[in-house]
Amino acid sequence: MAVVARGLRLVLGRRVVLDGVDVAVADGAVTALVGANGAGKSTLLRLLAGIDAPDGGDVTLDDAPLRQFEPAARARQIAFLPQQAQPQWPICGRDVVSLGRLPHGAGFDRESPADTLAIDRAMTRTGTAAFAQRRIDRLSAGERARLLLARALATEAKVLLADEPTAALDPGYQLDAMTALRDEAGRGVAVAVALHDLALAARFCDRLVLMAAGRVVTAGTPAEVLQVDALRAAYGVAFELVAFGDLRLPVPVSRTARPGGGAPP
Amino acid sequence: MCFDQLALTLAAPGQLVGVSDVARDPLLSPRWREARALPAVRMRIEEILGLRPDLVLLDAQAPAHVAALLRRAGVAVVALREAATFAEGLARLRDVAQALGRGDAGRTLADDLERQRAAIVGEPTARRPLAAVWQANGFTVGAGTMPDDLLRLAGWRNLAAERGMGAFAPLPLETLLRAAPDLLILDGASSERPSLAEALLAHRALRREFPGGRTLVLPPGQWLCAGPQNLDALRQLVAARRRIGGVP
Amino acid sequence: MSGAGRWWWLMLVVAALLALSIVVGPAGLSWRAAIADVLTGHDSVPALVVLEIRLPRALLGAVVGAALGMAGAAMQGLLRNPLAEPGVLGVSACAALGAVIAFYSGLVQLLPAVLPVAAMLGALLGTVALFVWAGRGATVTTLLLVGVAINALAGAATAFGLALSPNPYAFYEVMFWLMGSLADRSLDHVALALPCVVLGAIPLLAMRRGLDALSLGEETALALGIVPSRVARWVGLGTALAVGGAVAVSGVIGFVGLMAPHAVRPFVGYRPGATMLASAGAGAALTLAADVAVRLLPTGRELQLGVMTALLGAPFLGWLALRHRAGRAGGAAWL
Repeated sequence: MAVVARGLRLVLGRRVVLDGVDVAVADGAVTALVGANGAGKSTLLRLLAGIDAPDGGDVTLDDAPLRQFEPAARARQIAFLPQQAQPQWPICGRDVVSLGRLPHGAGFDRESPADTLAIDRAMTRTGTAAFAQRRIDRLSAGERARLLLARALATEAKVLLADEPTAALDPGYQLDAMTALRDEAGRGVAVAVALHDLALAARFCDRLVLMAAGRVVTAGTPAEVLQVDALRAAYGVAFELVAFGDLRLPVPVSRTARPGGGAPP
Repeated sequence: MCFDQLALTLAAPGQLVGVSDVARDPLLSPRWREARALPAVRMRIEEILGLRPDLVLLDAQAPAHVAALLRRAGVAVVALREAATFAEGLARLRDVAQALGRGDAGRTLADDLERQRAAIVGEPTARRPLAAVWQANGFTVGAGTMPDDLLRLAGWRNLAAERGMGAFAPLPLETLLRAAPDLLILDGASSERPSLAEALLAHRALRREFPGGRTLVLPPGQWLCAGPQNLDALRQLVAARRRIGGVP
Repeated sequence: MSGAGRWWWLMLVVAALLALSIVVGPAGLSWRAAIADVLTGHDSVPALVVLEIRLPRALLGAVVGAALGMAGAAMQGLLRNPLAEPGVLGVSACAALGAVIAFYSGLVQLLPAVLPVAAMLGALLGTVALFVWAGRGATVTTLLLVGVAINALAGAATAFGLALSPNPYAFYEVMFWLMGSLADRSLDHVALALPCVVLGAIPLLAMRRGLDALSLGEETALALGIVPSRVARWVGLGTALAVGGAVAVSGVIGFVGLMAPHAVRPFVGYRPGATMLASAGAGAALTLAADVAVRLLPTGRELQLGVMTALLGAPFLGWLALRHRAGRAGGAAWL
């Protein structure tokens, strides 16, 4: 197990964002975090990435407590792709990707052969090689999202955490992005990804962690987790399971309750 | 301001009821001690009238409405032009004395000052070395001013006058160095507190080009206004010329 | 044009303007004699004019301009805000206030080094006030409003402090401090400013990669092992040192830190770290050019350098604001 979290608790003001969360992200597999908005998926990813510290519990990377890592050493081991990465300057595509090599000591003007190789690889895998010299502000939202994924891949860390990497993408690129994550897992990387699309989660992920209100509801294989009752409890939505090859994919049908308890109008 | 000096010199005890506030500045006014014993006024008519004077000595350059208002208030006004030469200074001294009703004292003092001047200056010299005046903010003093006349009397040529610069004009440091005057005349610090204007007078280039022997510090009070203090300035200028100019 | 070629061009431009700055002056010089005297160490008047008057002015133009350009680029990179600049945001005015307190109280007469130290402390205070008051992730508008308030407050305090001085000239020197100048500076001033600017440039340049990492936002920077609060601390310190050193000898020269980064950004691919370095060169070039211009303009008294840069910079700020407005309407990602 690459990244293991035990008993995570995080409080923001009076709100308990995470409470008693146990999660493991395994090497060579894709783990999906699913759940309604506000369930705590993004917060959990930030704690797993080590960029926030929990109020209780701890996160270990290969059995070493994450908080003992230097920021740069941690960033070499764990690549994190935040949901909102707003480019502030119109830098070019290749520069965006090369930022992924920063934890390895690379800079825009200082690149080792290994850095160059990693950057080129990441751009090929995400199909972004054509954007290398284009300014990021002149790319479409989907093109930009793929570049940012390439940035995370370029780190070539042993752990890859991605928050909603498919959010801005059309179906074709969604498949490409999930395939790219799957391929990373195939190389032995421990991948965790927060997803809204349960069909994508069922098809591309080895394990699912279903979250609701800052707690883990169930965790296991897609078939174990994607049960109508558990999903209704977590999302407040009635689902139907539809056969797709060997899989049974959940399709949302109607709202049963608002998160927070209110009945549907 | 200049007439304050003359009035303070000539007036009988108790005759003056007020002087301008600059007369109390030790750097500008040689008689600042006496001035501080009297009420100070600025160019405000209310303040002047508040002292209930019979006579106001006014600079001819004062705004016309000031003199007009004072006259309407029933005060006698004598407007005088600032002296731009030593000779004019003596005339002004007599004028002020006359206005104060002490004409005899004025004439005696003026004659005495003229005698002393002749003794200090001596015979005209053939070689006249070059002097430059440099004051705060890099200003120099040109023709048509008392310092220019005193320099001429003491046997110096004035750089600013030769260049046809105005009465008070900025002289760039570079130009000053290029002109290489034999003597640099600086004014003293105007207060214990520093200012950039005066810090300029300690510029490295000046310190290197004009070591102590080639500079003379003359506080403005000694030679900006006409008065007995001009003789001190004249003495120092003549002594400096003999020391530097090499001509007795 | 290759990457290295651009840097050579920049250096060439700065060198040419340095030379021009030495050539321009009110006193005509025989250049053959001046150069010969300078090279042989002969203590002649032309050599003195070149070495003690024009050289310090040219050097200060380069040093002060580089400090302002670099600090402006660093602040823009850190705050991810293209309108940030030490002059506009009041950091320079705070430095001037510090310098004014040290100078007119007479402390500087006891120990000249107090002047830049006080200016740096003032700049540091201004930087901290700006960051704390505006808060993390402040919008362009909030930051500018807070900066305008700090700028006005420090400027008024400077004028007030000068009015308190018993020296009759002091009051009129508010012009120098708030609208800087390089006139009549000497090598003493170079010796005061240069170490501070170099000292400030060290943390700024060390934070180059941190600023690069911030170009995708704070969260990505954190993911890359860069701690934004740490970058902010060092950039704040570097800015304060560089701006303090510059303002102590030149007064506030505004807008250089605003214009220089924008002038070079397209040439360095908008990379924040490289922008900082290039902006130092552009700031030096801009300041030198403006300082040559004030000496050549047919004004009675020499125009204040800060007036010149404001004449260029204020319309530029307006133009940026217009582009900002258009950019928001058109959905552009930056500005």
